[in-house]
Amino acid sequence: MRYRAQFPFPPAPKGFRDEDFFYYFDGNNTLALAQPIPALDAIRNIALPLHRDAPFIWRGTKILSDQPALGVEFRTPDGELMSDDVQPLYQSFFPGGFAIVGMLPVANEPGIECPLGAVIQLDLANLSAAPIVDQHTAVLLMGVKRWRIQL
Amino acid sequence: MDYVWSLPTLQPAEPLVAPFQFDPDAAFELRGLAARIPYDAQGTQTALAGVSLRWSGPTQDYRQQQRVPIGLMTGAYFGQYGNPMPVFPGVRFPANGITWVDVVNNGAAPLVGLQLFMRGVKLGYPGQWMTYPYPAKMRTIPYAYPFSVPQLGVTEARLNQVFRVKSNGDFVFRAGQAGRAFAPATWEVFLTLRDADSKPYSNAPVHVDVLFGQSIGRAAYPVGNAGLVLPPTGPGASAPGLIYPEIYLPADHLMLYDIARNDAAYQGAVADFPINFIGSKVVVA
Repeated sequence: MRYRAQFPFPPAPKGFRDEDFFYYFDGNNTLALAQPIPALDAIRNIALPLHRDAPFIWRGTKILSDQPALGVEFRTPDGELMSDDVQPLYQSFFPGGFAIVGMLPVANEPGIECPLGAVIQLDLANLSAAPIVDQHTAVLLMGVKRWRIQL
Repeated sequence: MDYVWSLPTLQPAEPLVAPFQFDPDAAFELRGLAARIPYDAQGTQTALAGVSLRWSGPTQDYRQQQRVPIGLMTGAYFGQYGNPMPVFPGVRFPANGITWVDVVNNGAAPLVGLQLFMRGVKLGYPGQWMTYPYPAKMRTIPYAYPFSVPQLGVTEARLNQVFRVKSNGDFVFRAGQAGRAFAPATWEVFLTLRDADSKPYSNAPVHVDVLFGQSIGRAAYPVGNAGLVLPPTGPGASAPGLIYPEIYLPADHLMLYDIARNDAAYQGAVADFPINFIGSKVVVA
């Protein structure tokens, strides 16, 4: 199962074709995803930059972490928050049963159109009264790149 | 609408045949089933595997020729974690309609606190309760309202708590998640959702693991008859407890809820209790 969308995603508009594409971020390419977070504190505005070659339609998300107290909040490329506050990771982007059925993504309905070179911003928060000292968060943004058909 | 049916203690091997009457204000279409018992000290519901039952339509027309082990009938996690066993096509009960259950406890010990959950929709007449349409021209964005019930006591009930949609857009409530994933743990927490007029979406409080669930819960469920116990596999954030049909809440509108916790039998502590209402923000274009 790639996405568990409640409604089918529309096909690419006339003159374009969609191509599956994933963006992956972890502590190797985004240092903030491996930084300690003090108790009840947060790391704000972590930039997740996208490519400049084609627009990206963001349709699904997986976040892998072994920190049950982690909270997350996304901001779309146009700066709009996608939640009213930080969401507990285990209630938002970390699916259950990952060891047996794999990690099922959480769908964006509708998909979010990200223009060339867009930046998605992420906040990470520690929701517990104990510090997170060994954070290794991995973020997978799933979707399609929308290419113009060359005539 | 969820109808909660709390059954009396079932003695071993002693069948119970009992009726349940639906509300008088509207017909009800049954679309899903779930069952649960309170968690034991290990955080499981192992004794639930010993329950067999059959249930009837509105004319005491049983839909199984004999009692079926409930794990076979409802599937994984007994229809909990926001994933009830689908009843399709739906079974319609008139206002004041009655369903019957024929249930037996095949376990060795008395079974206390068995609840059946009949999930579906009330079929009211136009105007019987407030409903709101989408704007003629609008755009939507995936949106969530995470909030926390602060410092919920080990045994405490709070009535008429207020959830308010922000003024910068309408909110379509489509799914939910609830529960703590880190210490201190909570076990028996129940929600009653209500609309702004205090009309409830259930006839009694519904356990949060039946209504919503979450990705990493405290729970583990028996599988088959071999004593195998597994954590929930597959539900959670990617398959949350769906609100269907969705509930449309215009900007600045309220939703009320009662929350109750009864963890006296567990080693609990006062805790903030997180709930996440998931759906879409709707903005007039």
